[in-house]
Amino acid sequence: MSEKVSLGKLGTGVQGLDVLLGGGLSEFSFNLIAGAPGSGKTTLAHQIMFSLASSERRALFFTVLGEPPLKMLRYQQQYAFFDMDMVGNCVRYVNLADDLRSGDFSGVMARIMKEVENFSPSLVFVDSFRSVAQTARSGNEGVADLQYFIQDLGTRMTSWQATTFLIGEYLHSETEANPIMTVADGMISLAQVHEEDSVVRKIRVVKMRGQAHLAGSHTFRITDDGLRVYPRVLPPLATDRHPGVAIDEDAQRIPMGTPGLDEMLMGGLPQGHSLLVAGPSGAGKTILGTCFLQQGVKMGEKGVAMSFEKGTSRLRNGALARMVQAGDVTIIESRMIDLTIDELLDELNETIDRTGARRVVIDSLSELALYLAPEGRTQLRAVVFRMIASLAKRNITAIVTMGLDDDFTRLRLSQADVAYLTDAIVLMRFGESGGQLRKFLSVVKVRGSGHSHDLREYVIGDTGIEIRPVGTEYEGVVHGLPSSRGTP
Amino acid sequence: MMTSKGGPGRSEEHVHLIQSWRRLADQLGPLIGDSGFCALFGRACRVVAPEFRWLADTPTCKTRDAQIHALDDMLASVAPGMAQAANTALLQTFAGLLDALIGPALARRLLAAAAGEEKNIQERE
Repeated sequence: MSEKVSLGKLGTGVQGLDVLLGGGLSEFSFNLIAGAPGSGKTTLAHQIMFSLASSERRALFFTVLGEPPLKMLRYQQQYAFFDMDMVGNCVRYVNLADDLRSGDFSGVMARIMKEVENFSPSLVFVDSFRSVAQTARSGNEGVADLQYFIQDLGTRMTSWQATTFLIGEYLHSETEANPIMTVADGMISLAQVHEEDSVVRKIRVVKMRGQAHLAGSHTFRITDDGLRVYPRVLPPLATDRHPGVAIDEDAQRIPMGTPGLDEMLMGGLPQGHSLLVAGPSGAGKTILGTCFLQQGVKMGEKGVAMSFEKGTSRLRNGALARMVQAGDVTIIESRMIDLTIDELLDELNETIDRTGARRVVIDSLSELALYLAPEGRTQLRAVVFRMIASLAKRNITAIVTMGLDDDFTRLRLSQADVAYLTDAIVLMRFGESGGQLRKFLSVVKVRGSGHSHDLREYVIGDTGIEIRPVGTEYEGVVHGLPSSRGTP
Repeated sequence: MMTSKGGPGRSEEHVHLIQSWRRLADQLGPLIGDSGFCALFGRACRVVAPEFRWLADTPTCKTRDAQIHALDDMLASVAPGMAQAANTALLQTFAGLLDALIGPALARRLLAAAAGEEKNIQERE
């Protein structure tokens, strides 16, 4: 048995944050929550406090010269996590402003220790610690005073076995924060990233001593429930890389609901595969997706449709509307823009888990970018990669559509190299012949499976897409000018 | 905890009025600080001033101890019946302002918790 001390981990109660922290906050640690005004520091501190506090683990919240205590209480109680019944017995607020006015750190320390001894807290918060630091005398003497005060506070609180949080309006680069950053065991930095007209909140665990935390900036949102962090991680790898785990080489085939397409796919799309349906406007991509969901409903499967259309198109897609009304398909569509992939993925995964859906249609990736904050727009491929990886991990069979204009000079399969990410591709194209704009489709690839190499003509009728049973007699379709074989 | 005993020669009723303010200040002071208490008190004085014009002249102080002293002097300067009525209106207004800011439930909890803590400290002393 190891004689090393094991660090107790405290779950923060902030969804997603413990993943970044490497399992939670280290017990008795001395932490700094830093960020510009409005970044959510006080809310994060309160959410952690109300999640962790109990009659056995009491919390003392010192307010200093930042947000006036009455205003802080007025606003913080609006959040769902603010439990009025805990105030007084488990959570106590103390104002240090009067003690700080004298500018003497020893007086502040004496007051803190007096309150700590009276209330015996396991959690101590000081908001805002920057206002404490700013009362230090100028020059080297003041810096030394502050350093001593912080070190003394850290030592005393840890000895008291209190997990401590200093909250301050610090930016990472500020030298003023250095003494605190040096002493702190953990540092969580919050920021609002402003790009073009959008703002995306970011959280970063700068340091967390003694545990492997997740580096980098991660998206978070503040709602009526408080903070919600979206860790930027991929789902776990498949288990079949471990010795002895059965390898599924004969995946169940999922019928597509479009006559003729299953035959071209050698019996349907392998379960868990993602299929990119690419083609120009009017080619029938949405119809193909709707039929895929209808087929699932016929088989008793639930579906999810993630729509990035402008909102009214569903009214024209009666088949989809009926499935939604019947509760067989759940639709995800946002009226918000400046979304992050993390939020979209979270909603998609939550909907799949809640409804037990086995089929997903994302219509379409072309419009998805219109809903994303600038950082997502420039990383569409990465966005689609994370979405498809998440669906694959859940063994969801999915259709993703993408608008693609024919230019008839080269065979394009997708925008932003998305074609490399999906397991299968169906390409739809127009071709001119006999005074008509004809439609053709082909299965370009199906990973791990054979498939038809036909280029087949199809028409869109009242019942959906009708694919001709054999390959087209035309040649030159990919150039846009089909001609019958043998035609000079 | 506040240490002032009030002005000399005050009636028992008058001392009782001031004591209730001292208790309130002792309960709220650690929570909202001197400035928070004095700001709320000043606002309460302005709100009741149309009915008790002389209360509008109560000086705004920097510490809650000084603020209670000032109130002590103001109440002593009027007839006991008037002082009693003004004090009741002032206390109710003060409590109403606190309720409006942080809600009656939280205000009650904070004051009850502070009162309990004060009692504990007194018992320990």
